[in-house]
Amino acid sequence: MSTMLAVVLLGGAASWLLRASFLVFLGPERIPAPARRMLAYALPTFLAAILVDSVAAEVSLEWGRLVPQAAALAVAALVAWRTGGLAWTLLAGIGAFAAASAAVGAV
Amino acid sequence: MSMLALSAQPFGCPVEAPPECAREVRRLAVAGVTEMVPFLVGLFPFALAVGVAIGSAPGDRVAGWLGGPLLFNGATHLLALSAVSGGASWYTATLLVVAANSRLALYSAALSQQLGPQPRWFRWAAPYFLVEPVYALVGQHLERGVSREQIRAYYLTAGVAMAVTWTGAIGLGVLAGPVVPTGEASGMVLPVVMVGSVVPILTGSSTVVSAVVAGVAMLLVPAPGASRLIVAAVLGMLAGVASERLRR
Repeated sequence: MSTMLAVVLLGGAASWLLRASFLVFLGPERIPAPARRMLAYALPTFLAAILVDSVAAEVSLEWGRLVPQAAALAVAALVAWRTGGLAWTLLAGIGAFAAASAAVGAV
Repeated sequence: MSMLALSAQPFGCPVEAPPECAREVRRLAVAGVTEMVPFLVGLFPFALAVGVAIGSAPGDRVAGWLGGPLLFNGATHLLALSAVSGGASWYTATLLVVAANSRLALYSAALSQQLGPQPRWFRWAAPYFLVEPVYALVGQHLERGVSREQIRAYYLTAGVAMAVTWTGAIGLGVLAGPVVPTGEASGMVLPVVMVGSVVPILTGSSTVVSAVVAGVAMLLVPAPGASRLIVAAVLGMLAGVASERLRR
């Protein structure tokens, strides 16, 4: 058995156990009340942290790229806030990116 | 149980339930796929890149591809691949995978309250699909309030759409290399999709505080990738609880 196969099989099993830990084995009643209150904020905090990470990986401080990127994120935030729909947010954000790229390129 | 009774129970609507139950379940089942599409668009180039990395790394390509369906997480998959390619032993690489995926236990804990009353078969199947996009979409629907049958259908169709596309795109990357041209706009797809996931759930001041603290911590905490994510999220959660207390 190759090392990669062993890692994938063992890592896959361990990953499932982590994902199943509370859903299958421990149950919500094993979570102490203070932790339960904290977990109410799990979704926004994880998503916000992943958002910041994905933005930090892409954003450039070069003017020609920063403006379209900022426009894409601002328009996406506005559309997401108004509609709550991911598809519209994606279309509007990428559309704003393309439009701002063209505008900055034309300046 | 007859076939007629089975056909009246898509994803488990009780036989005595009104027809609206089955209709709503079908609507949510379709929504699980359609609402996953923006994530799939954003993640497709990433999955392709993982496939290309597997194709260009020395060693067992089939085992490398199997990481797609088995690890079912791009960052962890790349971590395992680079560790093994760099000569790490199987136990070191496996420990890295476990450490990087430890946040999944927090997702499991967060969803366990709402998914706890689901049937046993679902609670065993659901963890496989528990990745960020599924967690994000299902979490939004749970906050809006949906029935057990609806969320089950939604979760499964969203998860299957994610799994099929993810593993397929990795396979494509292994076989064909970078077949999709990577323009600058493609790099912005994931951040834009994440904005679309975060903004609608910022419904109260404590939630906003928790998200802002987590985001700032993600930039400032000096820790490697997966552990930085956990530290940032825990700090955000603590800030959310503190803000809730201060407002009382």
